[in-house]
Amino acid sequence: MNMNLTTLAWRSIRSRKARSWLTILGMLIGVMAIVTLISVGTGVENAVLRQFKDIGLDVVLLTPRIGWSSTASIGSHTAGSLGESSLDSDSALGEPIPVGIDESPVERAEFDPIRLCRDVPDITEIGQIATRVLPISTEELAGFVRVLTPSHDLIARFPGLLGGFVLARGRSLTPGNPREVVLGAHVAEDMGVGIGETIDIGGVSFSVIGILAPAREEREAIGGDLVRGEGVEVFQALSNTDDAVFVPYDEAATLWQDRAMSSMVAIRIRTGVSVTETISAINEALTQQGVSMSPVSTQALADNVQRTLGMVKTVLASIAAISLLVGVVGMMNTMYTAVLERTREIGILKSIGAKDRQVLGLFLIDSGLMGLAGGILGLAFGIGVSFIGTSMLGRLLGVTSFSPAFLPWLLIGVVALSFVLGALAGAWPAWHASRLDPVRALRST
Amino acid sequence: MISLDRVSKCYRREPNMVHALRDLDLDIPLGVFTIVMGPSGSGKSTLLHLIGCLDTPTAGRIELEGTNLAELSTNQRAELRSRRIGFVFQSFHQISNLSAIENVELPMLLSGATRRTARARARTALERVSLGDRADHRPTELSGGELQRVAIARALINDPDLILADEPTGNLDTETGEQVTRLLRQLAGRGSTPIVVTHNPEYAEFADSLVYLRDGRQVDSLNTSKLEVVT
Repeated sequence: MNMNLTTLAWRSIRSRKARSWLTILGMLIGVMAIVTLISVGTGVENAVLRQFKDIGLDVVLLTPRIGWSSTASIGSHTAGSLGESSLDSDSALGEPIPVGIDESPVERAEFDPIRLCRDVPDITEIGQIATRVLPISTEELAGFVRVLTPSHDLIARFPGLLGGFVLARGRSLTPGNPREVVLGAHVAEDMGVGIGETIDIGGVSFSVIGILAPAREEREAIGGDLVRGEGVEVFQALSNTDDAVFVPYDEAATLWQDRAMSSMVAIRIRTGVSVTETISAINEALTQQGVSMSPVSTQALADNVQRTLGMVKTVLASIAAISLLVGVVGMMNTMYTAVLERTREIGILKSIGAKDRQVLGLFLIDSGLMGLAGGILGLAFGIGVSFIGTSMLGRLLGVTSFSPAFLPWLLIGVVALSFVLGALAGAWPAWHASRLDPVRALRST
Repeated sequence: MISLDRVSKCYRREPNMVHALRDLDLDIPLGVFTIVMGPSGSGKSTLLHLIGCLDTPTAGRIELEGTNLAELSTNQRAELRSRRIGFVFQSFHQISNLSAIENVELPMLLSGATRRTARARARTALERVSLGDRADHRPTELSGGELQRVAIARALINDPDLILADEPTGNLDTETGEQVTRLLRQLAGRGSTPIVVTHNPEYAEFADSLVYLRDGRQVDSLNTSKLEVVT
């Protein structure tokens, strides 16, 4: 860029401050809108996708199809039907399968995870969980609470499904200790119970052995308001650990006396295998078992969420782009008016030796600089508004832990785009100026 | 030497054609102070625009030291204006949002000089026209005489061969006009060739060479000793 022309253009901008600022303002608003909407949108997207990554993108979730929960029985095997020996002997898995269903007093369920593992050799880990709302009471309080019964393997291998299952106090559920309970943070706080105390759930006494740390806050708001899709609600509900209590999966049969429940199975598949093909194999195996469950991969859920949020972002960015376009048209108007007003000045410049391309460059740089100024200021304001907007949105939704994401390409691109758009806005007026006849230009009033 | 050979210039001014210059033959030697006189519409300004490469003739040749100006491209003419020609206009033609020194340094900046060099030369040029102390003033803060001296400083900054002044005293009082004319006259002795268009016959006494135009034709080209013939 010719520094002398830049100097002259800058002097020109400086000399008509009010109009220049108004023109810059038009660009500023457009750029600010784009930066804000994309940054906040990307921040939300990242927060949601982080949840999926916590669970693992190599996980397939089996959720009951409509009607299944009212007819199926809790999935558990009779003693001996699922022993260590049977898992160890399963050479296809190559390692013991942590199915998480050990001995249970209830009758054999229709869903047989071991059989599924045998039928689908690419399964490496399985965990199960059932959930239901049951009465809960202490000596002083009584009410209802959501009871989750994760298998030990689900806790150990799929903690992301339970919001990380991070203990604030006490210890986790362990095999062989059936009458123990871990409380969610809000439940423990609301009921005022501590480690070692006893509570009654569904008529059965449980000893409190652990209290979870508060779950990550973005989960509820994002999950509740932005993300929809098959399987998504289930794991969102599971990851809300604050308002739930956790008892061993083995105890589900005791608590679920009518045996009607909803449940979910989490499956991790071998790295590198085709998810689609594995899901087909799982479907086939489930059909053979006569179980009505839908498999869906976390990758598919993540893709679905990303696609949905991507569309939202695109729509918002398009709206912002319209405001940028308005800014560009405003700048074009300003530049054309400037050419008309500065016709005599153009004549003077030509009379003292300015070439056509210098006049062209002068006006292009003039509008480009205003575009650049609008871009830089719009970026700065956009970053500020993104933080303010995220904070306000978070407060509105009760979420404080997600923040806007500023993509480097967006920051650099939006400034470069502003300069280019500014220059383009000035292109036609600049070309018009460069073609002016110097004698006529000098005679203009 | 500036040579005009059967130069004509016509403008279309609907519904008629206006012949500003008709088959003009003229030789202007370099290094002398030339005054072009004549009534309004006689073609004085057109002559200056053609010599100054701001316009092209409809017919004929204009040569500046052997170069036919009519054959130059738009860029070449701009280059010539930048390096070899300085303009001074009746209405000063300063850029209002620039200070005096910023106006003066413009031709140098456009010809690619560094800002530092341009600024230093502009300051020298302003001092040459006794305006060193008014360098940072805007055109609105300067008198007519000062504005015209700023214009002369701007015309001088690239050390041009030709200084073309179109009615430089037209907007000035008599005393200031005379000062400006004297200033232009001095330039002739310093290697430049001032060609001044004026209505005022009083300034003819300063001229080494006088060109009188009427209806686009030269009435006579005289040295100052024959001034009384044309006035």
